[in-house]
Amino acid sequence: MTAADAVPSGTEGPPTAPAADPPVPAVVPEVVSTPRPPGVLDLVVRGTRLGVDAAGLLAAEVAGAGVRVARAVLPPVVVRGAVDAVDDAVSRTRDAARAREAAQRDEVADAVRGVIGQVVDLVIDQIDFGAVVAKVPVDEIVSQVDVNAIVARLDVGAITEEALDAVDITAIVRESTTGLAGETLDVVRAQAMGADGIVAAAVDRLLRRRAPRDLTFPAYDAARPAVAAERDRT
Amino acid sequence: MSRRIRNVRAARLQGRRAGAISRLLAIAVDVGAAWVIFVVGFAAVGLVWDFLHTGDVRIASPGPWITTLITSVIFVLLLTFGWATTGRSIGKQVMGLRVVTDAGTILSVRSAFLRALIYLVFPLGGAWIVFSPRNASLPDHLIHSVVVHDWMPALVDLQGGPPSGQQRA
Repeated sequence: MTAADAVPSGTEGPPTAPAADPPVPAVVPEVVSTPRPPGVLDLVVRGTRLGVDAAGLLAAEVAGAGVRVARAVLPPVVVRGAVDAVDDAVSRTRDAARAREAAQRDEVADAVRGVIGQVVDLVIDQIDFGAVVAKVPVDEIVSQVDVNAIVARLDVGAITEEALDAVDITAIVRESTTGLAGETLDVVRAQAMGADGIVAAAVDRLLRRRAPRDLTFPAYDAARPAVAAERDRT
Repeated sequence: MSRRIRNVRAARLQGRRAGAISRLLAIAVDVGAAWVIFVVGFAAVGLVWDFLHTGDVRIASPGPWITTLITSVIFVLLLTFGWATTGRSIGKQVMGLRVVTDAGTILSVRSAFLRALIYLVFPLGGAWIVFSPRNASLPDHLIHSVVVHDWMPALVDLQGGPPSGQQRA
């Protein structure tokens, strides 16, 4: 086989260089930045904004009060014109101020929590707990603890009795032992019953007795035993 | 406390006439119980007698006639007491049997005593169970008694109400 034979059908001439792959767009890793917890500066800025908004709200409230006074004092002709226009403007300003004040209050609270958390972290970082624990006189404290007095204050007998009362051990033992003995006895009785049948069948076959034995006894109800029945006084 | 009979065949045979092997085992247990009572009682009485009347405390060995006679008396008394009270002697209690009259009631003391005496005098009368088409022994024919399977211990209810705590498979 020649080199030309190796060329796939439909292609002629010298082999060409393989086509270059299409350019793959570079993947730019997305940088996820975690929000920085609010610091002292944030607290100051947000507190200032809150103060400004609170002052604006206060001014709007004052203006609203002025409008209400003007409505009471001025003649209705004036009130319907200029005072109504002023009242609308004051109302809008007051609503906006209330909304800003509420938002700033939440932001300030968030900043307060953040600052407190950072302060606590800084304090904890500064504490050498190992040194603190080493300074605690553990042996001295333990030597002063009267363990016997503590144990003496505990009514162990009463606690034990209460625990034993909660668990009815007697009933558990009784149930388990009588149940086991009863089960064993039942096996012996059942085997004896089986032997009864075998012996009876063998004898019946020997006597060429065709009808099975009549073991029924309608006069006796096993569900209501004889001890509940009237005694035979004959 | 109530128990449930797990064996289906055994549950089906409750209240029916018992066969030879069950009854033979029950009688064997009764004989053994009578003998144990005699031995323990004889030893105890002998020790107390020796302790009170002689300085030599020892366990006496009774002769065969004494053993047979007293054991027989205990045997008859045990059977009479059991059959006339609950219909069960010790052996029948163990084997889950009950002796009743052919009317389904408990034997009278007289009937129970006669039945026990017949068994003592003529024990081979029990062999008739094997040949009887209704599992009846010779004393059963004479006393008009029937031995039935009755495994479950029942609470006595003389008012005639249903026994409480009964569960039957």
